[in-house]
Amino acid sequence: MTEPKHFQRVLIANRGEIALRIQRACRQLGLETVAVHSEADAQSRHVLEADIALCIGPASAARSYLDAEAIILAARLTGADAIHPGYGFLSENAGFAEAVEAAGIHFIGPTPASIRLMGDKITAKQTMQATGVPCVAGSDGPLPTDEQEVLALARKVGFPVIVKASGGGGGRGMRVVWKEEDLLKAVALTRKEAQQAFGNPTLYLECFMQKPRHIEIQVLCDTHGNALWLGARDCSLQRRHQKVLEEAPPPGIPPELIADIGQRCAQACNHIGYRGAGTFEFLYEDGVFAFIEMNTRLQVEHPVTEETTGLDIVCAQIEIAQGKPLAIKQEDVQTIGHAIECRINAENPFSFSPSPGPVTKWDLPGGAGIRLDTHITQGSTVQPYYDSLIAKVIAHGATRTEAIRRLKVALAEMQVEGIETNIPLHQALLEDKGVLDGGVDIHHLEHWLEKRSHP
Amino acid sequence: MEKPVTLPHFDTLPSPQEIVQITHWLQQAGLHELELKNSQGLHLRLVAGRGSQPANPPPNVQTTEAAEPATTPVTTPYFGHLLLQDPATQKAFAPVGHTVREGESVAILGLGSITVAVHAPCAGVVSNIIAQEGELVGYGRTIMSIKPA
Repeated sequence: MTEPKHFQRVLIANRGEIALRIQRACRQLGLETVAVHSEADAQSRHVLEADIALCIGPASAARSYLDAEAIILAARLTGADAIHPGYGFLSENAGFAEAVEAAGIHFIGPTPASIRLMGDKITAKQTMQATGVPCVAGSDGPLPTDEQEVLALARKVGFPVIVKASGGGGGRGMRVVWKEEDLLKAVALTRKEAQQAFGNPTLYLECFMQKPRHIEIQVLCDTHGNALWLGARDCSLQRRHQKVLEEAPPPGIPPELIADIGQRCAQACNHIGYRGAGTFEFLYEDGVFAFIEMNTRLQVEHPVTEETTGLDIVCAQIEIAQGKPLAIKQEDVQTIGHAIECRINAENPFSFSPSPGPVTKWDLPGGAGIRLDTHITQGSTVQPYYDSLIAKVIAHGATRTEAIRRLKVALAEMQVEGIETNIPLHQALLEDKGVLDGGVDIHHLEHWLEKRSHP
Repeated sequence: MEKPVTLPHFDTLPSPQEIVQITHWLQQAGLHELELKNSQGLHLRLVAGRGSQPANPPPNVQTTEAAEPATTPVTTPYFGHLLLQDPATQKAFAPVGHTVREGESVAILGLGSITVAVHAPCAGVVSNIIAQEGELVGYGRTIMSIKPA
């Protein structure tokens, strides 16, 4: 007996490893896939394996993966009745989600209203405060234009403060202010930049936490009122706000503290009628969680949660979009063992300059507890036009120690030639005492890199 | 960041002065490379010089037309269902042997209610038709070739 499906053919509006990840999930659910791609990606693995492949533009992302109109036209022409946006590109564009639904196509993601609500960092924070999710102390709304009021606000919060653009996120449009005398100049500059970068000059201000960790909660919500939280991830190892290595669960944080914050996130989801997968990002310092933003999409690091919970988040996203209720309850969600993901990028491991080109050798690791998510095959070419992520090596073990042991062997086994990769960086990090002990803050990697280049 | 930077129209190869200007913009923006392509198959690749040696070596300029093939491919400027015949008259726009002017419409891409014309990149005679009538073709697909006049 087959259940009625609301859609049969999913257009994957993305590229690289995540396009292949989504394609696999569609196949497992018996759905056909449409790969829309740029000219540069014509030989990419998910394109070659798609039921229907259509080149929609040149290499430039603006004329391919970011071209909302072309993607919706392509869905119409190929008979696709659902679109999965993946991460990046159009995944958090409320206008795109709206246009997809207006075209009578299912959007595999949250409602446009949710994307818009969380895309504006001020309304997101106000929503969180209203639903009991803890936030960083700050202006609790847009910064006033009156200079004296801004100064008074910052004094009340306490220096250092961080001035952020309401339309920003992911590390863009923010400035740290250490001293009162620098505040007004910083506000004026950030306002100008915010207007230029996001078309929205609205700013807000928060207390600047100095040594926080980046902890995030994965949620999954169906359209029948079930909102689950799937545990937490620690993504503190970052360089220029780009995550490098992620793990679940976060080392050293009491599970009851995570459970409390997880329940609050699930409640917030119920409150706003959230649909699909999402992530609440927090800064964590001295036992206190402070909400920074919500990502209304699938994340790069979702596999560490999949490994520790045994759930398939991408399949769940699709089934939620089909209107199915979640098959599990909160009490069924467990965190089993420990998982760590290394993002493998085509770049010099220490100068970080991109290293595109043909991959002449691609020998992948294996064995118990090792998972590889990649679109690269031997002989394929890493394109210079896009993000340099080429693979994710995910190790799972009964304990963190076992996961690290498996990860080290996997990284040593992985043989890549023709391009440079950041595997040596991961290997060096896995020898660092701070990383091995667990619980480093978000500045650890940048400090470590500085020390390494200026010993 | 003060005033928006605009690239020249890319209907023809930019002048050497324009290329130098674009290279400056690239360096100011911290970019190493720029590629421009137009629907006529013109292709310009600029690689900013490293260090402080402007224009030495000179910018790397390539055009695919330099190879001067015996026939010129006609490629699609967008994707869609290919119409080689006028749907009203059933008459082929540009059958094999047909003489075309540069810029003449040789086929149409149907996208539901919208259509996009495919133009001949040069004057000449249609020597070969590669794609099928009604086929869903992607961007940049070669649908026919023209023997230049």
